[in-house]
Amino acid sequence: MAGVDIEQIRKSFGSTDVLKGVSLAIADREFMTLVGPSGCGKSTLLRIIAGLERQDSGDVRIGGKSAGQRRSADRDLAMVFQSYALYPHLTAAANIALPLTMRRLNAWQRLPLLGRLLPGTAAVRHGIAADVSRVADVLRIGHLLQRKPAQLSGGQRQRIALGRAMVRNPAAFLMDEPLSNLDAKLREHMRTELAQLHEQLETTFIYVTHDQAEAMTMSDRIAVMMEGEILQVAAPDVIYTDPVDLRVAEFIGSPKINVVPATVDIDGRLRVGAARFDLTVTLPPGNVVRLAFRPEAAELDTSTAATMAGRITFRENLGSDLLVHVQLDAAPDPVIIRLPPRQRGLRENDRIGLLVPQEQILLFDQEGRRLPALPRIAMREPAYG
Amino acid sequence: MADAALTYRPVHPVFATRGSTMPYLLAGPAFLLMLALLIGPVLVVLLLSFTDYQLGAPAFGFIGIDNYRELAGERVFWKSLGNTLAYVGVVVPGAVALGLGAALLIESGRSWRAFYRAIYFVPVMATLIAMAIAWEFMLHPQFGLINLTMKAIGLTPQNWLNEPNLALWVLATIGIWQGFGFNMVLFMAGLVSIPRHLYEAAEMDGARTAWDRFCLITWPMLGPVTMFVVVISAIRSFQVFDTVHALTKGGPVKATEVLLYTMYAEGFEFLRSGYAAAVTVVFLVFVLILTAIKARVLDRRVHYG
Repeated sequence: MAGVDIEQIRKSFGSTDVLKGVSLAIADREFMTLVGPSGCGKSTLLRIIAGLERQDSGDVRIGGKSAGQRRSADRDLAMVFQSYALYPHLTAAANIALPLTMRRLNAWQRLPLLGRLLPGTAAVRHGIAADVSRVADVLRIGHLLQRKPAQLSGGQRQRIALGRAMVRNPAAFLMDEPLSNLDAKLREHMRTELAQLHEQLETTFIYVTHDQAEAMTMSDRIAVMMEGEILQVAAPDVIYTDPVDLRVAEFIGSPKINVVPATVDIDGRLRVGAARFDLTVTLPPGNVVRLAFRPEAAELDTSTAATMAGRITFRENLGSDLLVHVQLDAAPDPVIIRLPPRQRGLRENDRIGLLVPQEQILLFDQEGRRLPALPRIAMREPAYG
Repeated sequence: MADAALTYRPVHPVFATRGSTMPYLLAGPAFLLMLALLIGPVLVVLLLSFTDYQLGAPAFGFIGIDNYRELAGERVFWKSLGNTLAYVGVVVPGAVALGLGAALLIESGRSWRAFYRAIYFVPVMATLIAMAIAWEFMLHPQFGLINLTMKAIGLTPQNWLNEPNLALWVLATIGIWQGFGFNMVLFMAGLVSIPRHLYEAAEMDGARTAWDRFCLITWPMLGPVTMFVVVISAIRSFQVFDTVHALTKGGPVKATEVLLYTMYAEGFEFLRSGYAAAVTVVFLVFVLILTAIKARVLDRRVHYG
C-alpha cells in the first residue's frame, strides 16, 4: 500500500510527443482512473508507472521513494493486462501462484521435480498454496483453479488475472482496460465488483480506460487525459458538473454535452437567437462564447425570455428516459435532451421551447477554456418597473 | 464449440444418398496417385525384400525371411544400424539446440536480423554433395584449412576422415551444420508468435533473469515447434547419405557405414536388390515410428489454444 506520485513525465516515440510533462499525485488507497480517447497517452503513462516503458524525463515515486529508474520487478506493483496475459501452459492456480513462486523460491527450488527435494521448498510451496486459496475465496474462483486458461471464459480469465495481481499484496494495482474484452453485461457487473474489491483490499488502484462510464462509476478521482496532457483531475461529480475544459465536458457524459454558440449582447447579457440569459461573462459585447448544458438540464418550457425554440428532428425512447434531438433555431447543430418518459407524447417535427436553469449552464471561450458565468441580476432593469 | 458448428454443415444433395459413387469419384484421382507414387513402391520394396532378386537378373524366387535372417547375422548391418542411431543421437540434439540458440540470439538483437537469418540458412539451401566437397578440402589432412589452423595454434592435426574414432563425429558435425539453419527458421517463426504481453506479465511477476523468462514463457510456448523440429531433424538425419557417399564411402573400416549407405552399396554396387530391400524396410520402420510419434503428439497438441 502506497501512494504513487508522477512527476513531470515526458515521453516521445520518434517525433511524436506522447506525454508532455504529466504530473499526478495519487493518494494511498485511492482509486484513480486515467481516462481519455485512444492515443491520448494514458496507456503509455500506465506502462511508465509499471516500468515496462522508460520515460524520457521525469520520475515516478512509489510510497515516496523514487522508482523511475527501477525495473518493473522491483517496483512492487501488480498489473492486470487488457489481454489478461495468463500463462497458457499453467493452470489457474499456478498462474495465480506465479508472482509468489518467483519471489519466495530461488531458481533451484523452482526446478521441476528436483526443486521439490531441496530443503525448505515444501514449506514455501505450502504457504503459497494457502495464499492462492485465500485469493480464490475472495474472487470465488476455487472451482476453476485446476483449469488451464484455454478452458476458461473471458470473465473467468479476468478473475484469474485479478487473482494473480492480488496474491502478492502489491503497493498498487495497475489495470490497463481490463474490462474491454468482456461483453456489455459482464462489464457492468465487473464494474461493481472491482469497486467493491477496491474497498475490500484497501490498496491503490490505477485504472486506465477509454470508457467514461467505467471512470464515473468506480473512481475516487478521475484524471482526464488528452493529447499527452492531463486536463483535469477531480472526483467524478466535479468532472461532470464542473469541467474546466470543453474537451473534458464533451468526453464525460453520454449523450454528449450540448454546445450552442451564444453572443454577448450590448448590455453584457448572453443571447442564443431570441433567447436571452441573465448571465454575463467578462468579455466585451459582440464576442461569441460557447454555451453548454447537459441533456438532462433542459426542461420543456415556453414561458420565459430565456426559452430557446426549436423543432424535434428525432426521438429515442429508452424506456426509462426519452432522448429528443432538437434543431434549435439559433444553433447550427441539433441538441439532445433527456426527458422523463411521461413526455412520450412528443412527436417528430413538433415545435418546442427549451429552458435551461442558469446554474446548469457552463460557458467556454472559443479555445474551449471554461469561463465563469456571472449572474446578471436585472441590474439594467428599471427598479420601478 | 467449433465441433458443434462442423456437425451442422449442410449436406450437398449429391452426397446425401448412402452408396452414391460421387465421393469415390472425387477422391479417386488423389487416391490413385498416392497408390502409384507412395503406397505402391513401398509395397513393392516390401515384396522384394522376401525375394532373392538381383538387379538385372531374368528371374527371382521367393525366399521368405531369409534376407532378414541374413541381415540379423551380419556384423556390417548391426554396425550400420548402430552408426545411424549414434549419428541421429548427436545430430538431433545438436541441430535443435543450435537452431534454438541462433533463433533466440537473432530475435533478441535489433540489427542485421535478415543477414544472420540468410547466412545460417545457406547450408540448408546448398546442395550437400557440393558442400561435402568444400568440407573435404577443409578437412584434408595435409593442406586442409582446419588442420593448418590447428597447427598454427599449436594443436595436433588430425586425420579427420580416415580415423575410425573420428570420422562419424566429423560427419555428424557436418550434419548439424547443414541442418540447424532450418530448425532456426522454424524456431524464429515460433518465437514471433509468442505474445509480447506474456513477457511483460512475467516482468511484473518478478521473472528477473533471461533464464527465468526462458523457463516460464519461451520454452513452454515453443513446445509444439520443438516437437516438430525434433521429429523432422530425426527423420532427416536417419536419411544421412550424401556426406557419407561423398566423403568416406562408409569407411574407414565401416566406421561411417549408415543404413542408407548399406542399402545403396548392397543394391547398386553388389546388385543384391532383395537384400537391399530388406535394409530399406528396416529403415522405413524407423521413419514410420518417428512419423507415428509426430502424428500422435502433434495431434494431442503440445499447445494451449
